[in-house]
Amino acid sequence: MVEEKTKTSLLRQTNEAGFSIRARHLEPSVDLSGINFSFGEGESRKQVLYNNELKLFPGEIVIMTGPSGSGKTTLLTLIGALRSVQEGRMKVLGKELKGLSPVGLQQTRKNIGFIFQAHNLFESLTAFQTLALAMELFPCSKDEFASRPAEILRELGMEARMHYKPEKLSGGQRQRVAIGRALINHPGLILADEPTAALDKDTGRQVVELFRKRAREEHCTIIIVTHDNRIIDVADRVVNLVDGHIVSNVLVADTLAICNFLQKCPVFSTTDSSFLATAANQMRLETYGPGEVVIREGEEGDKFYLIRSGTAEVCKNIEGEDRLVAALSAGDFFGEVALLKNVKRTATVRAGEMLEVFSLPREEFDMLVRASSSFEEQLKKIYFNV
Amino acid sequence: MVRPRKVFLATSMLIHNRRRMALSLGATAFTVLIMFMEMGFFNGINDSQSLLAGAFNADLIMMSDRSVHMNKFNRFNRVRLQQGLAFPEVSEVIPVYKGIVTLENKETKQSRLIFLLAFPPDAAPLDIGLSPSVLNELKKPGTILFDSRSRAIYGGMERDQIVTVDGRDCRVAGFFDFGPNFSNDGTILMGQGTFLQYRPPSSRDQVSYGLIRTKPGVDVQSLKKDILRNLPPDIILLTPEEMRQREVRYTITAVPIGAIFGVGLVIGFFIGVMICYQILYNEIADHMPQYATLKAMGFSEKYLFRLVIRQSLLVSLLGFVFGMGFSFILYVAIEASTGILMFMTLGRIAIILTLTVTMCTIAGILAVKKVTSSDPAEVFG
Repeated sequence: MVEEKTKTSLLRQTNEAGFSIRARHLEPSVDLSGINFSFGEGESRKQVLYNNELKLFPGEIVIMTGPSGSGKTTLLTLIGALRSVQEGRMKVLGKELKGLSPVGLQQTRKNIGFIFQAHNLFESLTAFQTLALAMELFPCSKDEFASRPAEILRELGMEARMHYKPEKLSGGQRQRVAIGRALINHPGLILADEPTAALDKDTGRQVVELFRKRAREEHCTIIIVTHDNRIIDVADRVVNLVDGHIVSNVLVADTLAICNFLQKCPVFSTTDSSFLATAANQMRLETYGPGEVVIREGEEGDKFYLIRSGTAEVCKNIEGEDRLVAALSAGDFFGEVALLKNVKRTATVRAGEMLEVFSLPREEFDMLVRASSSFEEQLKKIYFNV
Repeated sequence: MVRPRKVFLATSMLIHNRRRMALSLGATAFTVLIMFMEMGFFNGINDSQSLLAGAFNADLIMMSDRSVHMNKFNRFNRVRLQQGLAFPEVSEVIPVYKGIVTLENKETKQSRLIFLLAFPPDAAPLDIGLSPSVLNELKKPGTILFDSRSRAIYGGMERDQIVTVDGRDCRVAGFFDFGPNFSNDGTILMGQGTFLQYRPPSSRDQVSYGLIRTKPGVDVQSLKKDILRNLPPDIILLTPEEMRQREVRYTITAVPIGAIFGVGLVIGFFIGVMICYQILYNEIADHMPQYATLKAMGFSEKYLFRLVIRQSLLVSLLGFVFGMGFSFILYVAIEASTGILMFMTLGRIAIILTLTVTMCTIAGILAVKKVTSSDPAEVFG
């Protein structure tokens, strides 16, 4: 009973974080698919992005990670309308960027806030003037012109240094000026490259809180490229890029939920939580309509599934007749038997109502199993009765 | 605190780097100086050469049809003066004689050529600030007036000193202010009486110019046509202003000296374009990341273009002010040492200002290509 309650509360939690984002009526602020990108021509042509797909929603804070040279920056410049899209679809803030003229790209960029690693501040302008200059992109009243830069600089804790030029500012202060410049026009999308790199713990927090406020109150989508572990907890989504491929795209709330789901299961109760997080990060969301078959008895097994929401029916063909043997709901998992025993699917699983499942491909599942001997032993103990 | 509505980025960028600003302004000022000097020489030649034409105190000047510029010494018969006087609109016709004579330097005993003008002293034919009392001196036979701004080659001159003009002794009765030009090193004035006394009788009825003065309210141009129609075609008529302009035209087109400085002005202009371009280019090259950032933020190319042009205009205007100041000092110095007229008129200042602004704008347009080539994608790197 107690377990039931935890499960539903968990479910609600995931739904809150996940559902609001994935709701059908909500237009993604960044929607890209089939994005390929290469530098150079002919012989020296080098592809850096391969068939990428990504949907980001208003109000999401996205952390993009990946080793250097993985194509993060290129992807960021494409989303930021700083480069022309070569191949694929790229919709940013409701506008298709593919085939857009340079002027069209420039107009799009007005609504995007950029925070660069190199702040590139004009050494002749004070912090206040730097922000005021950015305001010239849009018409605004004289009062706003005088008040808004001060307001934002205050929020960034730069009140005392408002009328200082960059040469009189520390690295962290300059970074905050650059952040202020990106925030001043209240953009619908913010792209930040290591925005907290030069900041100490407290000011880093301050900046992150400001990001969070913007995301919540103004439904601004914020993409942060960072290696700063201190701010990873603000992320709604973590996108990991390796060698030009988006290898994982995880909603953090979902990951937490998956970990919690898994931990509630007796099989994983003793498994190290870091392994669970790794597993959770590798999982992809799949949705099935009512009655749709997820796995079919007798087929090769290639994935492990965990139900995020909805219900599923498990049927077995017994004496030529499909029989319902179990009903599954959020937090339950299936598909592991075929992977562990290396046999064909032993049952058919069909969506009962609208079903959302996290899937883990066989290779990753195997790798995870191999990585954790205790995990493997426990699984074997259960399934082989060793 | 009252803050301006706009951020004056161009101005602040210019002022921020003091050393570069000094360099930019210095270079621009130097270009302006070059252009002012070339134009100063160019105009100085023209001004000095045409000074006499503009100084004639007359409504129309009659001269031989072969006398196509001031340095021609063709004469015509003075009977034409009488014929001119026959027109009822004409109140007075004054004969003017000119020639090149020798004047001996008392110190070196060297005879040097000098320009001579002779006329009836009472007629006051020249507007060069000669007082009637000085002119009166010319009525005495054997007197001359000496241009105190003549070149030093004639040696020191004192009042009442006896000098040798064309081998005859003359007394220096006074001085006047006129100045040399590229054709003449100096000028002396002589009374008609003294001049004719020295001439061979055969050429005494030959004059260089006839200064026609009209009665009040006469239309000079129609009178000019009237006289030309009725007199033989061996003379021409010009107003002093027409004669001055003809002289300038002649110096520019026919004499290479004028053209040399004209070319110098054009070259100065292009050097200026290159210097300004170099300055702007360096300024832009140093701020490429900032420009790329502006582009990434969504500022249009037009905005960047205006930013660069604004900077170049600022440099050009400030540089112009300094350049003009230096030029003025040099003008005064050159005029004092060479005697060539060097002065600025509003029109000439406007020409150099226009050239300076054009120069910097062209440089700006060339340099702005560098800005528009900046890749906004490079800001993430």
